[in-house]
Amino acid sequence: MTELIDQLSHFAQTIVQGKEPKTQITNCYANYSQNTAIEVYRNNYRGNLHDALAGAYPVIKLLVGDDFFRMLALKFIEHNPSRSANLHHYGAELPDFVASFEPAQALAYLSDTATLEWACHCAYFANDAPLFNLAQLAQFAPDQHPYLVFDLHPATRIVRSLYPISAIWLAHHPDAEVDFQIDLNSGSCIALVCRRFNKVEVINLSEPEAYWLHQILTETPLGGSTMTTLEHYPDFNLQTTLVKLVEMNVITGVKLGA
Amino acid sequence: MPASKYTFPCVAGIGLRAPHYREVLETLPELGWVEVHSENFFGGGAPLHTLRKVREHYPVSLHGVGMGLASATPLDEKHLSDLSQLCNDIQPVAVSEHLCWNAATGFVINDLLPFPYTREALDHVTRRVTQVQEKLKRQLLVENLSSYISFSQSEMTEGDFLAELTQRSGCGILFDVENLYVNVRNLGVDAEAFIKTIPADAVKEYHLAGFSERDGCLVDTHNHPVYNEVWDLYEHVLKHLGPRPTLIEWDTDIPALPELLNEAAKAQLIIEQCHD
Amino acid sequence: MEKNQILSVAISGLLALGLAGTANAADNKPEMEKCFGIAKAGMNDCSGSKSSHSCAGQASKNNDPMDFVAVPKGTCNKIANGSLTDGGGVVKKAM
Repeated sequence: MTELIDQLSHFAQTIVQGKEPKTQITNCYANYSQNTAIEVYRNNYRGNLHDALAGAYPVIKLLVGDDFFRMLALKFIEHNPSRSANLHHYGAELPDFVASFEPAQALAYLSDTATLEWACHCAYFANDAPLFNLAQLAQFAPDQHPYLVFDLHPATRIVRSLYPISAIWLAHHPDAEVDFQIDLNSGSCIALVCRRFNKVEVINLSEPEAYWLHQILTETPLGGSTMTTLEHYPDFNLQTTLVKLVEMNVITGVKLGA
Repeated sequence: MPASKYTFPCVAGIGLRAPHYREVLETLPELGWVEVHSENFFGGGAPLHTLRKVREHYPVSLHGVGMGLASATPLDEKHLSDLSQLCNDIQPVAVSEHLCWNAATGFVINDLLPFPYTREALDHVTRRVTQVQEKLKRQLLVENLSSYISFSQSEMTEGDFLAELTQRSGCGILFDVENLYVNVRNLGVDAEAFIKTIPADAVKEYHLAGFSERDGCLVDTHNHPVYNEVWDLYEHVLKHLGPRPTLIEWDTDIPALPELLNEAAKAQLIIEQCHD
Repeated sequence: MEKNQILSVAISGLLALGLAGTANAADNKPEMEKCFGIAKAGMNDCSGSKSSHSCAGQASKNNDPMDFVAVPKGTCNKIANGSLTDGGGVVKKAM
């Protein structure tokens, strides 16, 4: 195996890091040079990762335009080698990269919008979960309610921003009006990413709802989560929140905690 | 062309890509079978849901691009278990991967890369194909690669390598005729010798596609109708190895569905002539 | 309200809604999404959606980024106060 490992490692360095190819790599036909062949592989490497990013970040691409996105993507690829054979895993670090990417500094909301898009991308491919069965909930007696722990859909994500990123995301949705008006100064938001009927959706949460859901996400039982939330937000409405989260397919199951 | 969803019909099929999902499901064109890229359906949600719907109407073949059968890193267990789960769900008529690598220590390259055809590599790939087949509990088809370089360390041809791989692991062969043509033009591979080396019994499927040229190098871009030279080579291969299920692959600048179906009809005609 | 009572009232409320068949997602038949839900949210056009995995080589050249700094030219121009050029107050730093 050692020879194969050396051969492939060197070829990988040639493609990813631009190293000179070893002489054992030959093209024995005269139609083109070795450099042309190596450049085809380098181009495939960059192009496949660029396309993966374009697939994961369609809203960012629309916001900045194709040329700028291409430049952003190629710079990102230079600094972030692929680590998975599944291209859908590529690009998790793009939001951080955008935040520090000098040419994008004028667009303060871009990094948070990218964070939201990555959450949507992950939600799109997340594993399936059963639909919530209310009869299952009905089985528990009132004195068991404080100890209930909810299962959440694997697609569920919460993204906070100082900017109206949910509105920005929704404005680029296929169903949205072509023209949109968003004022960046319209304020912060807490975006909830979820999936129902196999479709990724983004809705806004209030502070109390987000506070409660954060605890539910860490499997804190219903009693504790609700009481802590009410201490901080006396006007928190548990029933409205439960209905909303069941409707949005965020809550998918319930069990008695330990 | 009525055929059970569970047998691989010896007719033409198409590579089914996202732009055509809707039209295919709404119009249900007469079509022998379809092939999709396995990795696009890992996980759940809309992709898997759509593929299940397709599966209700057509035999489906799963064509992987990420297993890296020759990679110099341990086989990716997660990737394999994702594929295994997908196979259990979809019950494909065939499962295929490429004779290539995509990972070396510290690197993942999301492409189909060639390697030196050595005895050492043959042992290595045989072990990994066996491992995949044991996990999937079925035969894997391995596809010959289109390459832009060759290695002076190679101790045998790709054809020899594939022939011995099938013998040692029991895998089948997905014979990509366009890939062979690209290698003939790029690397001076001897097409006749390649065809003679391949055991006909092991061949379970053919691929056809279009390529493009860059600075004298043919690149396997799947962005064009099948060229006449490749149709000719396909007919020639069929005479020697026999007709098999044949796929039209089109991945870039994807045409309207009727044009793709028309390409499949051309392949179908050649298959039928070969049967006569 | 007692702690347990808050929970039980909320749960009864949810069950009442659900059992009436209005709230429970499980009771709704999934509608056929545009493009069967396959166009990723955010994509403007179903036919533009591109799956990431392909066994084809790259048809277009993806050369290294050019040296000049490109300026974003997309829908970002439609976001009011979204960049320095609008004179908006949210940007800390000049390009």
